[in-house]
Amino acid sequence: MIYKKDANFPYPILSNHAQSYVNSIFELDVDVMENNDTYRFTIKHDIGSEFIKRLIALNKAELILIIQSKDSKFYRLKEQEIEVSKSRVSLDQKTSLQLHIQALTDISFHDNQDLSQFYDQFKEDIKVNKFNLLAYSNVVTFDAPYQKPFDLFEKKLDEHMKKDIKIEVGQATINIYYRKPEYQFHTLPKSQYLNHPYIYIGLTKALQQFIMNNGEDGEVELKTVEPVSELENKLLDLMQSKMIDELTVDNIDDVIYEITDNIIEKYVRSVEEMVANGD
Amino acid sequence: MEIKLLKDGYKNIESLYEDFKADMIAENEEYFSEESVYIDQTPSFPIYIAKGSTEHKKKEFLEAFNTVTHSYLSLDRSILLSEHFWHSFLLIYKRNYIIGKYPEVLDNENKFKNIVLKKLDWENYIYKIILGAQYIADYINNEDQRQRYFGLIIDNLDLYNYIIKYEIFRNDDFLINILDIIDELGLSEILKAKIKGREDLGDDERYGRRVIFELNKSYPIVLSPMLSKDDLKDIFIEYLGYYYDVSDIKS
Repeated sequence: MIYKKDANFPYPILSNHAQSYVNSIFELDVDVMENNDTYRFTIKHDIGSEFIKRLIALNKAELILIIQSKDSKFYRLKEQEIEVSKSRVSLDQKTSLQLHIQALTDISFHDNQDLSQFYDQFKEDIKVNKFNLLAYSNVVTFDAPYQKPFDLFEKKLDEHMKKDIKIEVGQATINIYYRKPEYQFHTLPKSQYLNHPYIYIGLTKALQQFIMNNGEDGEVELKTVEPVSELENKLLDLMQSKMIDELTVDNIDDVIYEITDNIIEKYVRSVEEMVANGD
Repeated sequence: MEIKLLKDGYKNIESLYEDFKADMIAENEEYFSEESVYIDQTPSFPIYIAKGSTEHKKKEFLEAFNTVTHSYLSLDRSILLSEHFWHSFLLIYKRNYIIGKYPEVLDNENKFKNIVLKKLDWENYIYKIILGAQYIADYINNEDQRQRYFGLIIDNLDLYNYIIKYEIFRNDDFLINILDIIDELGLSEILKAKIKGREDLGDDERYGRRVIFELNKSYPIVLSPMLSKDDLKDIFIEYLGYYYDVSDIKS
């Protein structure tokens, strides 16, 4: 269980709330990235006690990451990164993560120099049993919904255009101009999906421009670029959140597949369905 | 195939039950959202296993565990544990199966709600089946062993229900450890028995439930979901000892 309450423990505990330690800090920070199948959590933590850190280094205590979403997953944290299949964990507003530190042997606190003064008199007698909790961190939650690729687009009507459609890479969004409202299929069911080919073209154009503005020899190393426009920043965030490291003229289609949610399949199914229904 | 999702608020649409009976949901665009999900296989499986003999229920559970394991476990959790998805799927795509297997849903709306529109939590059979199937199938690869563990869940259903009721114990390692402990020590009958002569406890208290209750009470000081089977076994027997004479149980 994610532990939020300030409970009374029968021995000193390290947390951001308790007062048992002089430097009462156990901070957790989590970055999450995803591709179509997995989430990758990158875990950073800050422990305010050398005593506890030493126990971990000596294998007398261990860090446990808890991911709670529908159920509880416990991971012994050996490395900074943890990958979990999307078929085993989902991220929504109710998902929360926390780090615990568990004792792996009976631990005496007699040489714990990090405790607050209050314990000076009797820390000789404090002993924490094997498997008991030594510390718990703050809880990390995922309140903000993920950025969806469609936030990148703006659809507009321009009846004065000579052409039927214009797809333009703007400062903050990719703009799709239609000459007539019906070109958006707005009278048909699933009109959103029927516009997916335009979305695809728009993304292709924007990514090509991204390479021209930021790349060398048609290649961009994503971790080194500092894009100037708001749109390019959105694209960069999106690509990095999907674990993409490199954008090149050759992998544009792969990148689009990763950063979107099956847009072509949805398009095809919608058309098939309309044909089947005789619409 | 594509599974279209119902519009938010579908549960409150007054005509829902009548339209289900008359088979008029699938036809009516008004019920649908713009959203849909795609899944490869959609075999039917028992979604309500509360009636009939013990033997019959056991058979139904096994069929459900196996079907879910083979056809549904690779779905993203955001679909697999979505009530919105299951209600849409059952109402629109599994109507014939439901009416054939649970004709009582046509008798009155309460039965319909209890079988088809039930909240997706630990009391819902679909939920019990998904978690059990996932926890066992992820850890146990041998087919015979899987069937044995599914059987252990079914034989210890009261305790299983109690385990998945608590969020912290909804966990693969913990479930498998507990099933192993029960099996090794032959505790199944004891754990499901009612506790007698303890007026201080509730009416329907059982030994197994109390052990889980004690484990929950001592968490997180004792991080029981992270314990190895043998370490958990000692604590399990200790807590059972609060209610039952454990001197004959070998650890």
